[in-house]
Amino acid sequence: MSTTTGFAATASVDPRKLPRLLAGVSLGALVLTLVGWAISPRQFAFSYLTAWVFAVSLAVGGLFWAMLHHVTGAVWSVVIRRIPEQLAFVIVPLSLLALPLLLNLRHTHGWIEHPDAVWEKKKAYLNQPFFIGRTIFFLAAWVWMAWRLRRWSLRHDETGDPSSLRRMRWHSPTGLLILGVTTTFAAFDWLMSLDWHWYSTIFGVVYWAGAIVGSLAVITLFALALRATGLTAITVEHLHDLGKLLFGFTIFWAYVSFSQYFLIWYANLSEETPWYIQRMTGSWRALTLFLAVGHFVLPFLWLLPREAKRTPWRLGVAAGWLVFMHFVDLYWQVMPVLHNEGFSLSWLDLTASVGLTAAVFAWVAHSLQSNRPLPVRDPNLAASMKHHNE
Amino acid sequence: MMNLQADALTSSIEMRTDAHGSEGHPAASGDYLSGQHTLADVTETISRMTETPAPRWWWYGFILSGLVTLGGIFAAVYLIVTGVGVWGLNQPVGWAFDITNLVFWIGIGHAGTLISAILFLFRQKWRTSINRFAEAMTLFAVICAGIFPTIHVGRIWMLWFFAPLPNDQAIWPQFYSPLVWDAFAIGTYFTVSLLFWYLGLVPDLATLRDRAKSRTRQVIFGILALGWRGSVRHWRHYESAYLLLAGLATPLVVSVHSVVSMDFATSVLPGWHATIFPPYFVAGAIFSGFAMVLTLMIPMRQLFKLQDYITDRHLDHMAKVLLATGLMVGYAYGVEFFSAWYSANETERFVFLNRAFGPYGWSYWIMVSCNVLVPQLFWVRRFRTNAWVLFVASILVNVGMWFERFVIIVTSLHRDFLPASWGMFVPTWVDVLQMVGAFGLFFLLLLIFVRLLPAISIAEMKLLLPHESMPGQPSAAASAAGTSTAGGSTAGASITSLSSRWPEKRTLVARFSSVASLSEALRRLADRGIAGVDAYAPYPAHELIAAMKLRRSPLPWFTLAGGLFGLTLGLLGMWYIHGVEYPIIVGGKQPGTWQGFVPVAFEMTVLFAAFATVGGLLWKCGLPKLYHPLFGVKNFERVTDDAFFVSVEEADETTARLLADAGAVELMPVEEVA
Repeated sequence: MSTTTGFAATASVDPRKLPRLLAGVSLGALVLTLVGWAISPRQFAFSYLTAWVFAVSLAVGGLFWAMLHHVTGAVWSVVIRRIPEQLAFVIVPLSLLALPLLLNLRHTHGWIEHPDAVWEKKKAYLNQPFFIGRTIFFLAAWVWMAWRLRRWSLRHDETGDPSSLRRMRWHSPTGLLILGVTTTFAAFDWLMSLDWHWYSTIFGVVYWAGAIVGSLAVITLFALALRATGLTAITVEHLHDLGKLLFGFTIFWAYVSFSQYFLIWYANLSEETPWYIQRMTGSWRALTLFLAVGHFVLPFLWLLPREAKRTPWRLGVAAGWLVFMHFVDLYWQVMPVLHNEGFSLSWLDLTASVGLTAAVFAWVAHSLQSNRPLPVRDPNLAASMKHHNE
Repeated sequence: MMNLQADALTSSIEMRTDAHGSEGHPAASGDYLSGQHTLADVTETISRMTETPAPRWWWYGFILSGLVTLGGIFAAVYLIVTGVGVWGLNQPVGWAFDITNLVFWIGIGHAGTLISAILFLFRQKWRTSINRFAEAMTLFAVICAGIFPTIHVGRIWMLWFFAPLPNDQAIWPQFYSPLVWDAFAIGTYFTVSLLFWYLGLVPDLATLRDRAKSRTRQVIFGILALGWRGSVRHWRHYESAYLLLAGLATPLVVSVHSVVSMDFATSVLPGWHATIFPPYFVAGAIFSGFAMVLTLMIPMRQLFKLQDYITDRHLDHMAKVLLATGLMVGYAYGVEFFSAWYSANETERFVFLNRAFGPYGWSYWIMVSCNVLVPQLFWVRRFRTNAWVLFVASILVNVGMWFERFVIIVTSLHRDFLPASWGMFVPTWVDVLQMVGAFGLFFLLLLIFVRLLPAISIAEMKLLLPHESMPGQPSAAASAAGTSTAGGSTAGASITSLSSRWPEKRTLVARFSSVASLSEALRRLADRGIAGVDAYAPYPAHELIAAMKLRRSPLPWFTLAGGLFGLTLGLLGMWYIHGVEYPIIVGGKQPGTWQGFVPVAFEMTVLFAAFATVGGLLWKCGLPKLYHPLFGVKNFERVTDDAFFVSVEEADETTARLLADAGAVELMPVEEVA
């Protein structure tokens, strides 16, 4: 009984109005951001890049979770499956929103306007036409996969045709493979090549890890919201599993992020360390510490007790916090390139990130309301609803 | 006197239930257990492997692997007596077969914990029939791995320098050295794996104790089983401990191969220094470990006729894991190659081109074909369930993974920075004999293991039996107890006739033949608020824990306390040694910098958390306790096979009637009270 009260309070706003409300917020923030484009294009380019890469990582993470469900043949997550499917589909509007990013590459990616001897050796890969072509290709691949998955899933609700389920199962392993490779190179392009002298072989994995945690946190938030509105069959047992995964992947993020830092710190090579030196000196140091504590230590301790994963408000706090920390992680990767003298928050950081994040939430909330929040004809639905830990 | 009366009561109840044919009801086939099985024949099939005389093939295998092991021992002794120079090592190739074999065996050792811990956490039930074997494999692989660095140090008698003791010149181990991290990581891994394995074995050791025909077996297994008696109160702590150890083993297994990868990746050598190394090595370790499990399980299931226990679905799942981890390894090869080019660093680019097209190019292509191409077969379902295809592929994967380590180590070293210092590595007979000898030792230990201990977890397999068709027909028992007046009155009558002679209150034990009837009895006892109740079962049935309304086990607090203690001890110890007692600058780092302490601090946390968990379990269960009055109760030895018991202290006649009504097969007072 007490488990739902925490969210019942927040759901006192009519949930049907929520998507419209969020869309309004998003639109307002994005209009302000466009004004910023005119005033301060360079700051805009970086703020928008951070916000967009963050939003895309949520969609890509949604795609990951939706396909992982089919690859592992999981039963417990059937009641949750619709959320990552809808989240993945956000890639459609986000692909169109890539335009401001691609138009401002010369501001963000220094190798375009400041080519040097190092760049000469990698220009076969790092050149504007190829870069834009790759971005379009990555987005197209993700749109294609998210669209197929969602279409099969929704069609299965109508027809109950087992071939839709078979298709989802059949295409998910190759889908994950494509996703793994494309996100790696997308992360190399959008984030790693901001500093084109620097490279780290684990960088793609670090991006996945962040996207997996961030999207799982968003999925958890929607699971809690659906539960509060009573539209779904999500029980405490499902929340417990989401909490365990959130806990586990937070550790995974810490593991890969620390591996990258630790090996670069230890070897102390002049090609690699500047990236970390910049982030560990001056006011950036404070943000680095905040990232380590906020993205790992706090959620680790918070989610460690069993009850934290089974109590909706406690899980909700962790999920909300991790969405925020995932943004901080990307911000920490991007912004020192622009503000190399020290941490400096711009109003554009706020409007761009609020604009795109609210758009993602509005889209998913709307999709969950206009379609069934449960795959009603999934043969494992009943088993999933009865799922019990232990 | 008492026994006579109890027997009268017993026989009347037995007559009733036996009419339903309580024992030996066939169970319907489960997903991961095909064919018709009962609790008793799960016990029988698995225990028999250790009880019957060894088959002929076993002796052939034993003698062959024994001879190969002797060859390895000869090579090792020859090397220790003569010096490391009898290996093919040289300048610039200072590491070759030795470290290749170390990393290879540590990798093999990862599958056990993966199957036992990670798949357990992910509720993959199919792990049940292979986890015991894979865990044993882990331990033996780590033993094989340990041989190589031990010998490689050259002066083997100086090995204690790794231990955190000041040596004879008052110098402590160097806690920023990845080799010291290795010693801690592998030591912790071996210890925790051993605890995990042993913990899983305890109920099965009790089964072997209770089945023992000879006094020697009874005493040996009796001591090893610690007096396990299947108490549901114990099972509750046991399950909690198992889950906690699984939770500890999961990050531990990841840390071990990450630390091994850091032997290379912390260096500045192109080809070794890559940030992707930790997860890449972990994926490779799981890949090779799974391949080795397949290589061994496929012949074993044939030789011991275990097709019902290790089904085609198991093979299918394992093939999928091979495919997935093979793709991860392939991803790492690709990203490394791309990054080498992208780095724009001439040496980095050269090293990778040399890997693929230099003098050792053939080994690179063996690696790529075996590790990336071969697993692609498993996109096709037919290949995943074909034992022959899997067997051959698993061997090829092991070959590929051995070459992966060889490629990483030798090709990165043999072209030194100056062309004048370039060289080649050619193995000597000592290298080869030691490598082969390690395989001999590994197979020898495994052969001994399958003869001495249950190679499949008996207690856990019983959990896979479908509950509704458990022997004992719960519906029949329930109807007899409740609605069927005829059955109820028979039992009731016999108790009434006994009641005039019912003695003072004493401990009463009742045998049940199914979980369902026992949990019904437990629920009724709990509803009446009767205290001093315990139940006993051959496997951890959750219904029983629920029916007894037991509180959650407090073991997580032990784990937490142990972990915090280990963390504090590790950090304070290293800070004192490195920052205060003997400050030393390594690699330009300030003495006492925290980063270098992370690996060892982590291992210490896990080690002490595991100790505290197992210690807490033994303490909460009051084990070891080799004798218990219950062991004297008739048929109680079947508690580790197919029987369920309940004991009630200070039971009166009403309690006895309640148990009889709930479907007890036998009622027996205990002479001594625990």
